Amino acid sequence: MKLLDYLFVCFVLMVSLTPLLPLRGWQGYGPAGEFYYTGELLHLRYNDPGFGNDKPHVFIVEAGRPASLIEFSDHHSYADRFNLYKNFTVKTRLENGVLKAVYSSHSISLVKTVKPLRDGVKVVYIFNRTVAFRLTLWRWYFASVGPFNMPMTRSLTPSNTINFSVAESGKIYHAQLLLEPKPDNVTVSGVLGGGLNKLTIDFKSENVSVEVKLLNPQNFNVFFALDLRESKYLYPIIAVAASSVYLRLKRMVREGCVNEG
Amino acid sequence: MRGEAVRLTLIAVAIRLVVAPFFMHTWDVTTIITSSDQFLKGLSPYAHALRQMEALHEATGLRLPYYGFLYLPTVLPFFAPFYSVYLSLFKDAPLVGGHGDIYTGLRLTYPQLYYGLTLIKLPVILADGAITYLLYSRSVKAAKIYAFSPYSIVITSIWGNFDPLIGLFLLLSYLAFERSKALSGFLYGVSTMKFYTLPCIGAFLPRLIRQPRELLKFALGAAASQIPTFYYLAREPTTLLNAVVFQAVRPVNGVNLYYSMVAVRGLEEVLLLTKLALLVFAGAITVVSVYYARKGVKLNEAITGLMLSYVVFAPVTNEQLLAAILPIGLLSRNFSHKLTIFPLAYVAFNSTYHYFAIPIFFSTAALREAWEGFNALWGLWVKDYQLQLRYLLGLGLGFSSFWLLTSSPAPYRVTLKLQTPSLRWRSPRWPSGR
Repeated sequence: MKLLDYLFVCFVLMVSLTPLLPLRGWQGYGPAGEFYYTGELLHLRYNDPGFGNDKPHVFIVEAGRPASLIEFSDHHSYADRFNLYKNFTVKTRLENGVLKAVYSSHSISLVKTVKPLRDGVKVVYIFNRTVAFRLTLWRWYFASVGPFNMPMTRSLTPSNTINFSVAESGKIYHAQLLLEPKPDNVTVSGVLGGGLNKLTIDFKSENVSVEVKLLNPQNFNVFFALDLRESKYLYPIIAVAASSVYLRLKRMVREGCVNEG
Repeated sequence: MRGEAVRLTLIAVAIRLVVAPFFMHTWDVTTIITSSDQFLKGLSPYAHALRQMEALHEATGLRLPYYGFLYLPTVLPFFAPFYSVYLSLFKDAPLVGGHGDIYTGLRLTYPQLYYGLTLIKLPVILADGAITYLLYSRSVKAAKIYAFSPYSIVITSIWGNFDPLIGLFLLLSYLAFERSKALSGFLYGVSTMKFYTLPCIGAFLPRLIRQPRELLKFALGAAASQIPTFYYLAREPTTLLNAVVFQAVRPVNGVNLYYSMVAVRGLEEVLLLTKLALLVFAGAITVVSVYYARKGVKLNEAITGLMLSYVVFAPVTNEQLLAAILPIGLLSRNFSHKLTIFPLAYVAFNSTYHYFAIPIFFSTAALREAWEGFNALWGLWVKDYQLQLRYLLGLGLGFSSFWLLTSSPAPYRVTLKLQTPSLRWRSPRWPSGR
């Protein structure tokens, strides 16, 4: 029986290591997300067809855990007032390392491509005609967007670049949005008591390109390593702790039985 | 005695009835309502599930599973009559869009929803009453534990799952085994509606294998229970087999030691790992079956042990699974109702603690706002750790079940200890004076 216990514990420990499998590149994921990209510095999550958020969601990765950088929302994005989530049927495919989503409706069609880069991601929208495109990006919460950090609705001066930053585990990550063409209008808003959380960008164009670029990707943060939220390393740690408790309890019971006997 | 049993049964039913209208597992209740509706309209729930899977495949290019009605059709006759009562009372469905984004697509009809939830949960509530009554005559303590079990109440009345129904039929099959093999086979056959009681055949077979007539009766009984399955198999083999294949290869999930695999971000990799887990599971079930057969373990303890093997090694063990083991487990020495602590806590961390309270919180705008507030708090405090917490609970259940599994079950054969009588000759004592 003792041998069985040790064999079982070994099995549990082996299974606990599976989240650390060195997977890279795009993977089919589901059902809680459609596709997942694992890069060296960034992860991308592209959600199920049934959901309008995370289209894609960009994460910074350090110490085995992803932390949100910015989220593209179909749910709050519009092409000529047609909502990208509600008014289009979408087909998504992986083609040569690029995720391609084809949106169609009765009057507008568009192709969205998501191309991962080493320190960022490039999302391109190609419409069948010139449209008024409102793109909405989210993060709970931005530390700053452009010169602003207070949760008030403000307009930014339209430009091809928007700098923003997010705070995570005691560290500030700086990133940049590279926009093509220059947007007509950029608005940032937030919630009182929280912070800035929404970036709305208006274009009038047939092609729109949005590149998210991480500006300080190299600095490993010791606080990040200590912050175990969503960390993959927690699984083997939990397994070791639970196995130790199990073996200890079994030994105590066995010794108790021997003493009673 | 009988009066006491009836009283406890009524209390068990009453507790569950009071809770039932106000809570639900939105996805699972939607599955039962949708499939009952389709069944009543003469439509096939299997064709619907296959269409959904194909639509997902078409939309994504991935073989994503659709978690719809993918059980045996023996489930439907239990729920369809109760849903037809609902339809005779109300025109609108109690809920629409429960298989989508609950934030944007869920539509609930009040107050019909409360009646709908009560009616759709009624067969399971009655099953809980029957279990309490049956247990009472065998063990008053077991009956009381079941009647007041928070886990049983959560699964039946708050979640709205039908696993207690499976538990009832598994218990009945065990109780009928000595009296009628055909009846026992029939009841066991009904209990396979969610497939996971299939390994229990390893407990029945060793008792039947040397009695071909009894084996035949058991098999015929089991086959009779599957008439709805044969009907669907003849009418639409592809769609029914899709359900069977789905259950056989669905990716790892639930309260188990494999839960760490949900953090593997790769569908193909998870499916490969699931296949490896299936191999381990098949090996474990075979070893346990053979071991129990050789040791001559009691039928109830063999069934409980095999189901515990399922809990430990099967790739998918949802939080409601233990509800099917609890009734027979309470009559077995190799089971502890304290195991239910783990799935109960898992429920709390599974879909956020307020997910099951949607019927209450979505009834007014103010309550809906409060629900959103709870949601934000959940996101702030718990969300970042919920997968790891669930993994910890999965390990807790896995280790505890393994402990029970490896504890010695009682043999069912009577051991005769023959003592050789002492044949020492004693010289008779003659009464004095003789």
